[in-house]
Amino acid sequence: MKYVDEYRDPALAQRIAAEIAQLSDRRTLKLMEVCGGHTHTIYKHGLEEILPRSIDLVHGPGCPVCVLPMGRIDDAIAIAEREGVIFATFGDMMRVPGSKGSLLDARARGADVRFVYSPLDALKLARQHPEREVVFFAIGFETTTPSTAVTLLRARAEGVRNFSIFCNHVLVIPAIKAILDSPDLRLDGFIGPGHVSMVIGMRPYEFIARERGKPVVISGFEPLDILQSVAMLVRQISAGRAEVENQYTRVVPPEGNLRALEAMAQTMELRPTFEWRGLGMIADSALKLRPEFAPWDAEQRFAVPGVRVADPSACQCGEVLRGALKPWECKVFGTACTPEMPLGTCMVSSEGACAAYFNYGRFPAGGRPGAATIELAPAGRGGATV
Amino acid sequence: MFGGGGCGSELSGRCVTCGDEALEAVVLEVGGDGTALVALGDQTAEIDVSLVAELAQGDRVLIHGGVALARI
Repeated sequence: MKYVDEYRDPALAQRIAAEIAQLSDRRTLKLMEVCGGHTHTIYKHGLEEILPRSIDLVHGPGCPVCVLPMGRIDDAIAIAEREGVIFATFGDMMRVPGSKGSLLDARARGADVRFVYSPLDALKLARQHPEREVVFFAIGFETTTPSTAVTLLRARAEGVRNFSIFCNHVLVIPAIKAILDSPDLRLDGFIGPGHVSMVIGMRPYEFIARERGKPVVISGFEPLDILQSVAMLVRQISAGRAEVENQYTRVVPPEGNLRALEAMAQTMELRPTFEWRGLGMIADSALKLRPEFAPWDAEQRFAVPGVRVADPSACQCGEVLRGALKPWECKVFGTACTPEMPLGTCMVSSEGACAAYFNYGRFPAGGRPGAATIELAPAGRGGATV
Repeated sequence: MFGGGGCGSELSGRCVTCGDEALEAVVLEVGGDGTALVALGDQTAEIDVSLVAELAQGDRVLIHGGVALARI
């Protein structure tokens, strides 16, 4: 892929790290990267080893697979196991454990669960199988929601009636508000999600700077993007400023993607409340289909248990998702919970903080992770370059 | 839509669609019905382009869940 090397220049990385060290002046700064994609880049490229020890990167709740509570997985399985249903889902959701196993287990029991890359692929399945009910398991933040909205608009325009959406889309801003209100975490700033912001723009973050006094820098996903964003945050803190800045100007327009926002508003509306794994019930934090899309709403068409299910007692995903615990500090990390046999969602998705630590081998016997080497080359397993 | 089976993490070390991160693709051919054929790594895919301004062959786009979200 073009234009990658310039975002992975080790000499430039060292210069940015030196500036961060000088500006932070040994004061410990806790900066949360909200997006799971950023967490992945940080561990794939060993950025914590380049940054001065005064910078403590805290992993946020921005992995869409990780924040989905077990009860919703159980609901998905209940739909998937209905007679005549083809249940279409993104790959990572197949292995996420519910209280009675995963969608993969349901498939082994005979349910027709299929992996797709897009809700549009699920709609195609519905056209190909008019005698079956095709249900798409919609998850994700505002980056993913537009594809569900476009699919719903197409389904209505084409009159495809054997297709529906099990909607679990969540919103990033209420999650950040919940974290800001969390009593066990003191943060100094936020690395804002790049591709969510490509859709929602910069304005929704302004309350964080204006009302809460915390700087936000919307960041790209390459190693130097993230280092530069940390430098921009530290510059703001050092100067006593709290503003929303955009490091990712090559992709994020200040106003976002207005067509995508319009498609979302046409098809979906706020749920009064929604359960987040690790964060509990958060008001106005998720989307459901508008009443006019009821014919395509799986929750309207099929009965689901709708039961809240507690996480396994050994699992500490909740603390990890709130940034209160580092992944390797969880008591089952790497032992009872591994990517092959995950106990919690943070170990399932490649965007999850626990899987990122585990897959790139960045967990020590104790203390800060990683060996004292500087590398911008990918590390560990799954080290394919972009 | 995309070739191959299983979770598509081979392109970037992360899942193509499960994470909230879009992927860069190059437009090969613009269709007349709000779709386009794009190159994504060594694969090709038909995507929806109804949420971005008019595209031309060679444009680079960010796509997520089979839908283009930005021209870059």
